[in-house]
Amino acid sequence: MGAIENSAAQPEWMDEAAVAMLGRAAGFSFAPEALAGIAEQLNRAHLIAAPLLSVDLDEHVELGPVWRP
Amino acid sequence: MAAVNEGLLDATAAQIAAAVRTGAVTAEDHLSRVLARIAQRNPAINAFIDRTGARALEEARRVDALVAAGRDPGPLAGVPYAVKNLFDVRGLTTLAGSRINRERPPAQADACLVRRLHAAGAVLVGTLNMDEYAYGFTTENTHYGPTRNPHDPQRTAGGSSGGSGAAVAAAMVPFALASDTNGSIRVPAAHCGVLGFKPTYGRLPRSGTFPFVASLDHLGPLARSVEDLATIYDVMQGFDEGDPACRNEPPEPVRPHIERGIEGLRIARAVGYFERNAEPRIVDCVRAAAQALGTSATIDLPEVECARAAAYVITAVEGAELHAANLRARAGDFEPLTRDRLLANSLLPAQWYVKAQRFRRRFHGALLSVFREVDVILAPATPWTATFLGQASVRLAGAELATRPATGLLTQPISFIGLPVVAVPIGRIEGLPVGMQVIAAPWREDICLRVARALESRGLARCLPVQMA
Repeated sequence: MGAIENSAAQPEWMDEAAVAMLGRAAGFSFAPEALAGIAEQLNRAHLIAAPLLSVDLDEHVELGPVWRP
Repeated sequence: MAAVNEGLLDATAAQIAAAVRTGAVTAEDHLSRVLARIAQRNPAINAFIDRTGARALEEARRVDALVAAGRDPGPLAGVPYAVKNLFDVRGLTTLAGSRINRERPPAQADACLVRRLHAAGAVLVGTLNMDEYAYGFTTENTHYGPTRNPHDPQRTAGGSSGGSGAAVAAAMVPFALASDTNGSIRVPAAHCGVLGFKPTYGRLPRSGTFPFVASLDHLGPLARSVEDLATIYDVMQGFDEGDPACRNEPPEPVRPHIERGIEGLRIARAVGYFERNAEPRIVDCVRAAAQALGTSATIDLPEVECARAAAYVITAVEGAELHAANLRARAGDFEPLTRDRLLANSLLPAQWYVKAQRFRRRFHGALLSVFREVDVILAPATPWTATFLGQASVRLAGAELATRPATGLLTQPISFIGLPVVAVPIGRIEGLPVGMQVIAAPWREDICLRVARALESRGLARCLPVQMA
């Protein structure tokens, strides 16, 4: 199980420092006063996504979107 | 003729078209009364953002000229309608509920579906309010003001197509077009007590509309009768190369089938997830509607919670990607109610998105198996009736849920795999409408509409216009 799945048990996936760092990596420059709100939304997203993250998929059958030329 | 026309203000599209086609009224005369009603009723509701009076007059006169010449004016002759303001309308800027889009030039051409409605004789009277970029379920739009529910102006009309639901419920128009990514046709239909129709993903071309989540976006109508839904849908069907997801098959008209009844259809009520995530009184309404259809069968669909999660992730990632440049450069111009959510969505792991798309294949396969056993699934459309404007959360089964994302709990898993659905009003709780989803297998819109018509003919699914001062 990877780090993301492990973190599912933690009540706070992201804090403000982590949001600032992730944001910089993604090309954002968040105002300090925006960090708390973004962190709250990320933690909510993590909570909602949890059932999906714990699902085991068949790597041969359940492929992602397939592009056809 | 004046008395006839006055009565047509609350009429269905079919009744209006019949009156215009037979010459009982002219399209122009009816239009003038419709525009007066919109001017009278809209200030209390805030459904309309732009009005297209000059264009509408041209379209109405064209219909009247065809009638006068003895030519066929089309099945929607002289029927006024409006569109969610993410549809391109020639000469108007396509706002999609945003402030940012005001800087875009006016559309050079109509959206594909608007062109098809024009060809069928319909008359476009304006564009309608929505959540910014279709991201929300309440149509609380900070830039353009909230749309209010005609049944109770202190409550939301649902969203993101709240303007469409409210305009139809308040009888400002007999039908409206909207989009549905996670429930944005079905939620406002349910909250406003009208019918909403989301066909199969890929059925109706989205060419000339502002996207939200390309993997999940659908278009469809809201109206006050099943006959109208079927007629409107039929004139909009057909391939268009402007939408890469559009199925390249001939249209499959449904209007001839809606009176076939439900004999032989295997109908089951969804339990499990769909009961746990709805207020008990809403579940009771769905149970009563199922009984009215003569069924007590139930079905517990597999992995619905995962489907909702996956739809949420796909929406988050594709939506954020679409607006990435503006989110980096001018986040302050976005809707304050969703800005933080869009920014957070920009940071979600790519693996989540790919896993969500892979899970979609599995869920699709599982539900196709279900449709070998049943033809129709009934489920509540929303967990609760219309919430108050500004209401941040709702308590359900002991949990506090955020209103804006959680209102789509019951619609998201269905649109996730593109199934056709008709949202049908089936009752009231404390005066507020309750909606039910009538769901069928992919490409079986005819079955959804047959069941909706059966409910209508049994006295359920009745959409009486809200009486306003």
